Amino acid sequence: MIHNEEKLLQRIKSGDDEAFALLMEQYANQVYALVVRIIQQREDAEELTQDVFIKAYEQMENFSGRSSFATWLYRIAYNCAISHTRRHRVPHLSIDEGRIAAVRDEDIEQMEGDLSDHNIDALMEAIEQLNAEERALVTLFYYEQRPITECAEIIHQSESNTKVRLHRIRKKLYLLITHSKDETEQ
Amino acid sequence: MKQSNNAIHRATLRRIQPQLPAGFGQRTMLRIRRRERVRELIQYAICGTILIALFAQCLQWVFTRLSVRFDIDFALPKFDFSAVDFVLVKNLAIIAVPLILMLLLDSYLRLKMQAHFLFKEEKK
Repeated sequence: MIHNEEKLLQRIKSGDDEAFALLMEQYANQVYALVVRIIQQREDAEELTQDVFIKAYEQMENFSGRSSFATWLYRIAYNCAISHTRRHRVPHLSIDEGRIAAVRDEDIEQMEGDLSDHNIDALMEAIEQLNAEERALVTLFYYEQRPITECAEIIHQSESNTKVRLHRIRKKLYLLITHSKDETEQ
Repeated sequence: MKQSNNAIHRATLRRIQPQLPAGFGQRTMLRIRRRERVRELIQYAICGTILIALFAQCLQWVFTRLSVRFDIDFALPKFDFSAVDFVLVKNLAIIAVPLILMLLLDSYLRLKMQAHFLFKEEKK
C-alpha cells in the first residue's frame, strides 16, 4: 500500500493528475469525515474537502516525505476546517478552568471504563459540545486511533502539549456529562 | 486502557460515518484543472503585458532618446507640405509597427496556449 502510494506520489510530482485522482479516491472519505466532525456542517464540508485536495495538489512540491502523506493531508484538512470555524464563529461551551482542574484522574478513568449505553450516548453528546480544536483531537486520537506523535504533528503542537490537551479534554467531557445543566453558553 | 474498551472511542464510533456524495472526485479534478487553466492564462497575460510594455519602451527610446534616422534611398511621394507629412508618416509608423508586432505576439501566444491545452486533453 505504502509502496503504491510512493509510486503515485512520484507520478503526481511529474505532472500526472490521474495519479492524484487515484490518491484522492483513497483518502476522500476519511478527510471528509474529519472535516464534518470538526465543522459539524455537511453543507460546507464537501466544498471544504475539495479545497483540502486542491491545496494538497498545488502544494505537492512542498511535500518532502518527512511525515506520511496521510499526516500531511490531515494537517491541511485540519487547517482548512479550523480556519472555517474561526471565520464562522461557531458557538461552543465554555467551562471555568478551575472546575476543569478540579476533576480527579479516578473520575476520568471511571468515565472511560463505563461502557454502558447511557454513558456512551452522553459522551457522544458531550463531544459535540467541545470546541473545534478539541473535536479534531478527539477524532484523530479516539476515532482515527492515530498515535500521539501524528496527532501532535497534525495539530502543530508538541507531543507533551498534545497529551496535556487530551487530558484536559477528558476532564471537560467528564464535566459535560456530569454537570451539563450548569454550563453557560458562550 | 485499550482503545476498544474506552467509552470515548466507542462514542466516536457510534456516530454514523459521513460519506461523500457520488462524483466528488470528478468535480474536484474539474476544479483543479479549471484553476490551472486560469493560472496559466494569468501568467500568459502578465508575460504578454510585460513584453508589450518593454517593446513600447524600446520604440520610445529609438525615436526619442537615440534619434535614429532612417535614410531611405528610394523615391518617396512628393507632398505639398513635406515637413508636416513626414511627421504624420512617422507617427503612423510608430502606431502601426507595434500594432503589427502585438498582433503577431497575440497569434503566437494563442498557438502556444492551444497546443498546451490540446496536449493536456490528449493526456486525459
